[in-house]
Amino acid sequence: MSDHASHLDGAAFLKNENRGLYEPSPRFENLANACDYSSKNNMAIAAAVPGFQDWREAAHQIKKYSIANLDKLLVQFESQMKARGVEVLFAEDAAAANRMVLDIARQHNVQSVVKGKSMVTEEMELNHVLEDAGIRPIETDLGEYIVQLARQRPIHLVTPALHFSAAEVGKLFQEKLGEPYSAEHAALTAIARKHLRAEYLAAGMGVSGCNFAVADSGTVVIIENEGNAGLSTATPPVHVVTVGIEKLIPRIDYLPLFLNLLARSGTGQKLTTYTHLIHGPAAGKKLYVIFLDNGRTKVLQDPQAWQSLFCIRCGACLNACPVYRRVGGWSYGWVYPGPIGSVLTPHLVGIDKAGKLPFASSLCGACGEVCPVKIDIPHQLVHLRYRAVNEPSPMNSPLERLTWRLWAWAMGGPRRYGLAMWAVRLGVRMAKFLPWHPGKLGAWTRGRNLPRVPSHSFRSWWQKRNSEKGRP
Amino acid sequence: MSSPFPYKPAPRQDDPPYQQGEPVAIFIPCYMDQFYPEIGESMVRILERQGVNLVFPPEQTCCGQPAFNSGYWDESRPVIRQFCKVFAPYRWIVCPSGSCTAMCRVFFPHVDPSEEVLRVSRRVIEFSEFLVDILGVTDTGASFPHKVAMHIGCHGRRELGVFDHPMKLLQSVRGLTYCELPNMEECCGFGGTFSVKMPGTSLAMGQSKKENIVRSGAEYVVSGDVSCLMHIGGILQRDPATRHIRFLHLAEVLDSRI
Amino acid sequence: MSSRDTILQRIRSGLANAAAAGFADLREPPVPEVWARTGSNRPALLSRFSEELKLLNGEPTPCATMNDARRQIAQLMESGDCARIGCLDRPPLRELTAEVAADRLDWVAADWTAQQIEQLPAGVITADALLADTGSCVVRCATAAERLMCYLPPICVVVARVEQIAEHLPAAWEPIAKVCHAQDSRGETVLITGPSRTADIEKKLILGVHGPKRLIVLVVG
Repeated sequence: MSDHASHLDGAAFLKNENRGLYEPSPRFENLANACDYSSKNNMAIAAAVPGFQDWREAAHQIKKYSIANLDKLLVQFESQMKARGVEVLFAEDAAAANRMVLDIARQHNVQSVVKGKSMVTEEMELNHVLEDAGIRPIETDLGEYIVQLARQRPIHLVTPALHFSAAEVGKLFQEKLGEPYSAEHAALTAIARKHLRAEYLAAGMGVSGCNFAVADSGTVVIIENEGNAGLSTATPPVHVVTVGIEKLIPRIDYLPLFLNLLARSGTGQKLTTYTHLIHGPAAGKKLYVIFLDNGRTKVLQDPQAWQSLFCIRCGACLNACPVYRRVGGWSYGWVYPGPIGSVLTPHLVGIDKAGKLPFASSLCGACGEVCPVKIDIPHQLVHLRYRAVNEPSPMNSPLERLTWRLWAWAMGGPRRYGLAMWAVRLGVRMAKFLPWHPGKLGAWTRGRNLPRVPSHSFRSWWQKRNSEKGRP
Repeated sequence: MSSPFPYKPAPRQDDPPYQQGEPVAIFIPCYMDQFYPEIGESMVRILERQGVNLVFPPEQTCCGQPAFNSGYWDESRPVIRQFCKVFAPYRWIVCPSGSCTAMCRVFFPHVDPSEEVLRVSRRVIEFSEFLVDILGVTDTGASFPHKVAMHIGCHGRRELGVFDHPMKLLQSVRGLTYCELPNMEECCGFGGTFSVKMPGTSLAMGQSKKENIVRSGAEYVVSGDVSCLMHIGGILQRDPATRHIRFLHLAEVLDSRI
Repeated sequence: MSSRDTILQRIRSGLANAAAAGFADLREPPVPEVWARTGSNRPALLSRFSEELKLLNGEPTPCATMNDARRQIAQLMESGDCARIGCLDRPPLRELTAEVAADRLDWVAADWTAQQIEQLPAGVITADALLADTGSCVVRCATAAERLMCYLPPICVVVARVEQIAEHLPAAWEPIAKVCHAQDSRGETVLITGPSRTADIEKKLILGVHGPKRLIVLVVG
């Protein structure tokens, strides 16, 4: 985890809207290239699988049913897992979840915790909490391990350290782990393997996320490629699963569909290297599952927004988004970046704090196009924009509202429209005489020429043509 | 050619089918009316050559999209209602803009789900959609012997499913050399008010589009959305190295004769 | 009210809006057909399994007889990185290692610790099924030792019979689902699809970051 707490106002590109020309950072070139490759790969895979669109539709319907029956699924999952000796806990918010994890850690005299990738633990800022309590958390996903050592936030949902070059990783390992410098991938990976092995063997507890919590069978499903989730959850005596309530699905029989979709949309694979179906604690081990609300039930209060809970955290929308690949994951100010982050953050953290995020989009629709569970992300974005200007938020602007009211008045009829447009044309003509362009005009002309002002409008041409033809 | 991810073709009112001679209204977006009238003129000529009985309701103003995209839906409602009142008498409302058509067909119902609005909303159809799907025309008899790159606007592509239509029409143009745009499916960065609310990011996206246009070797960039072209063209013209690359609406190319 | 009840109440209160959300009166969706069954024959399945696993840098090793399999083990142990092997104690593995010297063979019992398993240069396990379309091994691991045998040793040898190859996950699903449902199931069922991999540094693919670098699948029969 980083040294700085999440700060939404500081979301870089939201601040720099009108000041200075955006300079794509060379640091993000890797990110842009990786996103480009992933999204093209995604397209190719979708085209190659004849049933892919049917899969997406089926997944959407299953998720829909799951959310509509969330309370029943929660209860069913709990009872199945309890019957196998799993302790199932419920945390209303991040603070509660952190308390539970600490309690468990203290109960079992845990001194270090190995962590598999879990976005929910990032919501909780669990690592800070553990450190403050004198317990050492170690991220085991290689990318997360790297950003943890560097005390930074992950740049991307699936590849957290994409912005690091191999040389930078080499320097980091030299500095923080006392290892001889190398920029060679195999050597770096071997260093990480060596250090993390020692951690797995020493840790008193493993914490993981959960991709799917299956209600009818009582199964925790975790997918990964590195083997770190397998090791973090199998080696220590205690395994704690932290999972958002929206991850519940009704039937284990739906799993082949979701596994096939998630692997392809997330990493372009047929199946990830390890797919764990966790049934219950092995003999001599303890298994806990902590369900987290943390604002998810608030989403249910907004009927338009329910489908935002379908998200399976694959990252396909990030890879497709032309904005995300240029600004990177930190710009979104919280745990979830990219298009889905612009939807989830306002819901979970509050529109009053994150109301700007839904506006950080050209509404191109690439995200909705690739979402494996068919979340209509652009619709979610415009809906949140409506809420942001009508509820307390940084985007609720009486001045802007007045402007749009005036505009609506101007658009109320042909004469007013004509007057308004005459003013606009005059403004554009005069603009070239101004030494400097204020506000939105300046935002345009900073990098673009203004259009030429033609001698006539379409409607004047039509009217003239019709009067010549003797038509009304 | 089409995306393997068919997004969500917005429902369209095609029934009963088009009868030649019945009045077809045209909706000319405000910025096209004021800054690019020649596009509307080309569209009129093309459709009249196909025997379409065109009407231009003079009370039309705007589809309301700028306010809608900014979240000010309540403020856009009277504009939307005005639009629906003006176009209520017509079964076909043809618009030479994917983005405005998408606003009408996809987003009107979000702001006002009343029967009056829904009825009109479903009847708005994009220009190339109308030519190909309704008139069954893929060749307008045009010739345009130049190197052309095609930019498909995102709203038309993803909200309406209009992609094959403009491509088919372009293919019929005699003498035209098609230059494939690398990363064609990537947004140009205009996004309406996004272009002035997030100018830095908008321009970064536009720069990429410019670089791809240069890579394609095109002399002309053509699109069914002049809103995108205003932004792309503005960027091309700002740079002396690319000032020679011209931009045209698809209708202007389809209206060209040598 | 407990947190559990608070959360359930919050959910139920939100779900009262189901009609407005368009989520009312939904029937449980049918299980979709993900992949059709093509009824391929065994040799075709074996060949597909091998192709897929090779693409993932795994080592599919078809062995016509148990003797061939024994030879593979002998070769592995001669190769240098494999002075000793650890096996789960199962009849097929007893058969497989009949000719291995006792001082080079460990029988990994349920009470073996992680530290002990970590010392093994190679771990030998059995699979419950193989999936041809993805080159995957389905491995039931009820105990911690069984789980760790999949991840800790740098070389993982999976032994299966050719009759255990199914076309794909849906074709192999029934027994997996049964285990998931059974109340006495513990540990995990893991689908292993190739050796451990990462592309977290500059998107360059590297094998064996945490889990095994080498995944050898001996398919006997």
